[in-house]
Amino acid sequence: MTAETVSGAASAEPGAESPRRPVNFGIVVFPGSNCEYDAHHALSTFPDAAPHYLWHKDHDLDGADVVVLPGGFSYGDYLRTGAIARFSPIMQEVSEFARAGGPVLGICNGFQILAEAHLVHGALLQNRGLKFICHPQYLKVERNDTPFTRRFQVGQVIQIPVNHNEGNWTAGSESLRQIEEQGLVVFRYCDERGNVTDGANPNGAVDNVAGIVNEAGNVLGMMPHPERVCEAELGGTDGRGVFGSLIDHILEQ
Amino acid sequence: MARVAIYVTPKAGILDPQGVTIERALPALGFEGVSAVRVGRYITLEIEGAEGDELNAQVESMSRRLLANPIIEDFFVEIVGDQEYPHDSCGGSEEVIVGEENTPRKAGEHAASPWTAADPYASGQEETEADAEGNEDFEKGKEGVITSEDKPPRKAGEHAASPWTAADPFASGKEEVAKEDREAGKE
Repeated sequence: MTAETVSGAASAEPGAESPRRPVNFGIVVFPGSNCEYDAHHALSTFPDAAPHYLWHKDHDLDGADVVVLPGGFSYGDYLRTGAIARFSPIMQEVSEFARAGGPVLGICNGFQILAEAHLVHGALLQNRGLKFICHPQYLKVERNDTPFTRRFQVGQVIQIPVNHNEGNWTAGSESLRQIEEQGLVVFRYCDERGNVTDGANPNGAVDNVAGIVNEAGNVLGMMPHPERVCEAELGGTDGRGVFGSLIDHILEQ
Repeated sequence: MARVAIYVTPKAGILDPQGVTIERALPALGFEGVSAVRVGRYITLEIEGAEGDELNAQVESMSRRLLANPIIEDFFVEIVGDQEYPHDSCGGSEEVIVGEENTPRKAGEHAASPWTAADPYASGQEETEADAEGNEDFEKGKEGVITSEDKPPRKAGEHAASPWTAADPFASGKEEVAKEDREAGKE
């Protein structure tokens, strides 16, 4: 909560001349999405955030500064997770927004949609244990120079729950080498001490990848659900770092 | 109208959790020596209008863009035309692969759980033969007609290393996987 208190909005930074404008978060709702309300609620706890929903059939991001693809089971996960949602009308605008440098956050099913849309690398297979998993998960922060992680420290261990059946991220070996060379991995599954081990890997994801950005760093796909840990009453506040970072990023532009 | 069959399979070197699980389950049923189990998807559809190269191009495009994910999956296309599908009951035929004539299943025959029975298929000898025949038909059907996309099914031994024990599940992954990955990324 400390970080939040400091950057919490209303307390404008010293020297700020104009009042902060709210950061416009567009949360895309697909048929089968089920975490859009959580994301909306989590964002509504930030004085600087103005969340609103975007319907997948629209061709309009409605002035969003940040686009959020929430978790769920878009199109019933038919064919492959995210495979159908990827071709929803609004994804055309989301892709253009992303290519123009706009921040896009895909959470869980949102990550799967981003991967299917080739906005981030790799693909998400079924968990190696073939079981749906749902539990708090430690993550190691690999980068804090992205719009999503600036409130974290590199190497920091945070706890954000996972809740999925297809979180087993993978990529071809050559592709994987390039991904690691370019440092695109932002979060890795780890134990509470930050050790990135196979035992701490809940789903078999290659290199314990839990979250990955595109080359430009403005699109993040992550399996864990930061929107579920934004209030101490609900079990944690580590998720605030992700949304808070986005707010900082937009307000400083 | 042309009938088309599309086979989608996990790429070499890509972990297939379903295949691994099935492979582990088979010995429990008494089937020893089974390896390299991979689970894919068989899609059939009918297309009006397009023929020849245009038809091929359409099917390849839809396969690449939607039906398969080239990062993790291979696909190949079989243009069946106005013939029946190679082996299924989708639209083309009333016949069921494991024909009822060959394998009359009496009530209660499979009552025992396959997980506890020593060999629940002990009585299913004919069924196995029928399957084998079906596979032969499948093989025959492939020859000549496949408007092949990508490569033929991979060779034996290519999946030698188990992804569950290998330090690097992609150790056996070929570079081509990555290349396709790249190409897909540029789409």
